[in-house]
Amino acid sequence: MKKIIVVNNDIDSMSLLQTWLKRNGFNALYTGNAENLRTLIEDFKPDLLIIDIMQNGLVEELKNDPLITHIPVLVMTGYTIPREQAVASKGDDFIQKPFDLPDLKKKVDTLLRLH
Amino acid sequence: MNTEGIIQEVNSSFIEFFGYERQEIIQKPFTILFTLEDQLSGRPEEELEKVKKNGQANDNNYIVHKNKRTTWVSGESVLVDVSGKEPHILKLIQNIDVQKNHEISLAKLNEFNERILKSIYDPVVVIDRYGQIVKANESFRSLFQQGTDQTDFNSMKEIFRLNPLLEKLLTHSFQSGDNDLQDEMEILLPDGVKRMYSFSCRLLNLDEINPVYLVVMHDITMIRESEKQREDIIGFVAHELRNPLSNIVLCNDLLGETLKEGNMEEALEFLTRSQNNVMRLSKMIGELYDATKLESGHIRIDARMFNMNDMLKEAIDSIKELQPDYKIHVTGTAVYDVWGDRYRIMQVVTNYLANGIKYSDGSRDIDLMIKETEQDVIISVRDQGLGISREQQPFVFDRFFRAEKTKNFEGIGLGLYLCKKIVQSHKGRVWVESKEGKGSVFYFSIPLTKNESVP
Repeated sequence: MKKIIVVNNDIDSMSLLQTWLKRNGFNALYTGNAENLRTLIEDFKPDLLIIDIMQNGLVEELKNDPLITHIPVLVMTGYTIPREQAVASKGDDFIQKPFDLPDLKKKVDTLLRLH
Repeated sequence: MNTEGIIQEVNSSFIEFFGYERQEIIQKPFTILFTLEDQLSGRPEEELEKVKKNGQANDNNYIVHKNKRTTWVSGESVLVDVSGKEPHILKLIQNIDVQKNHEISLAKLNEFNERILKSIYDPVVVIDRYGQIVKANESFRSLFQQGTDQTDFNSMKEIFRLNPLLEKLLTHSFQSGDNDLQDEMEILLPDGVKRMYSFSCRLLNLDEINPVYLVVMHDITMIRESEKQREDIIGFVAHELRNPLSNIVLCNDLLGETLKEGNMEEALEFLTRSQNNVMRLSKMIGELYDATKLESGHIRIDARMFNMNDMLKEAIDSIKELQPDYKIHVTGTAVYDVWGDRYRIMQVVTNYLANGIKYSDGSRDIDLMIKETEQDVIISVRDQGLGISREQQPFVFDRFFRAEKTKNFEGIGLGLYLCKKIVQSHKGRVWVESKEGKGSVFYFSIPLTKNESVP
C-alpha cells in the first residue's frame, strides 16, 4: 500500500483528506507541524507528500534535502494562482481547492506511478 | 506752453478730442490735464524739468477730458528755443488708448491664465519639442525642483535623465504627430521617490514653427495601491472560503460512499462534519458582509437601554453551549444599564470569549471582568493562552490581521475588527494588554448614561 503524508494547517481538512485517501486505497498520515515532518518522513517513509502552499518555503526546503528530494510533492492551494507560480514552489504538481476529487485521484496516481 | 507749464495755444484737434473751449484752457497750467493721482505724485513737474533739461521728453500717461473721462496717450514734448522768441514747449499728443486697453486685457488674461495654472493641483507643464520648459505651474516645480540644484528651471533635462522612458514616449509623440497622448508611468522624482502618474500630452498649436505641448500629470499611486490591496484581500478571502468548501466536497464524497456501504453511523459523522463546515463558511460570509457594511458606515445601530448583566449571562451561556469544557469566571457586576445595540455588543462579548478559548493553549479558564468608572463600563476577557507580541499588539484589531502564531487557527481575521467597529460606533474604545506566553486581556468600554438599573 502506497504511503502519503498530508501537511496543512487545518486539522479538519487534514483528517478529512486522510480519511478520503485511506478509502481510496492509500496509507495516509497527517501533520500540522512542519517541525515534526522530518522525523515523520524518516519513520513513515512516504511515497508522496501533499502540502498546502501556505506552508511558506517548506516545499523548497524539502526538495533541497538529498534524503527527501526523491519524494514527489503535490502542492495544494486555496489561492487562485497561475500554474507557473505553483511550479515555482518546487512541487511536482499542484491542485486547487476546493478539490475536484477525480482530478485529485488522477494526480496522486500519476505522481505515485512516476516515482 | 511756456517753460512754466502755462498753456499758450492748442490746435483744433485738441479742442475737438478733449472737449475744452479754447478760452477755458489758454493761460491755464498744463497740470489740469493730468489725473489727480499724477498731480499728487508730481508727474507734470517732472516732465517739465525733463524737457527743460534735455530739450525733449517722452512719456505715456492719462489725459483728463473736460468731461473727466481719461485717455491713455503717448506724449512727446520738445523745447523750442529760437532766437527772437520766448522759449516754449511743444507737446505732441498721440491717442494710444486702444493699445493701452489691449495691454490691460492682455495682462488680465495672463493673470487669469496664471491663476488657473496655479490653482491646478496636478503638475502641469508646457514644453517645446526640445524639452525646453515654456511654462510650469507651482505643483510641477515643487515636484521636480526639490532635491536638484537647478536654480533656473527651464529644461526637462534632469527629469528626462531620471526617466528615460518618459523622454522616449514624449519624443515619439512629438515626432509621430500623435497630438493627444495619454499614458501611465512610474516617475522617479529627484528625491528618489517613485510614484505612479497618468499623464496626457497635447499639442497647443500656438506657434507653427516651434509648437508647444501641454503635459498634465495626475498622481495615481494611491489608486493603484488600493487596487492592489483590494486584489490581495479578495485573494485572501477566496483562499479562506475555499478551505471549508474543500472540506464540504470531501465530506459529501465520503458521505456518499458510506451511504452506499450502508454504514449509517459513519455517514452521520460525515454529515455532521459537512454541516459544521457549512456553518463555518456561513459565519465567514456573515463577517465579511458585516465588515463591508461597517466599512462603508452602513451598519444599523439599534440602540435602547439594556441590562448589561443579563446580556453578559446570555453571551456566556451561548459560548458554554458550544464549548462546555471551558470555565468562564465572572468578576464584578454592572450597576447601570447601558444605552446601545444589545445584539451588536453581545456579538463583541461572544467574539472576545470565543477568541479567548481559541487561543487558550491548553488552559480551560477564561475570566470575564466588569468594571464601571465615572464615564463608562469596561468589559474585559482574560485568557491564559499564547499572548501577542508587543510588536503585533497595535494591529490585532486591524482587518485581516492574524498573529503569526495563530495562523494555524481557522478564521478570516475579521472578528476583532468587527468588535472595534461596533464599539467605536457606540463611542467606546477597544484595547489589549498581553504578554507573550502569558495570555492576553481584551478590553472594551461603552460610555454610561447613568440610568440606574431597575432591580
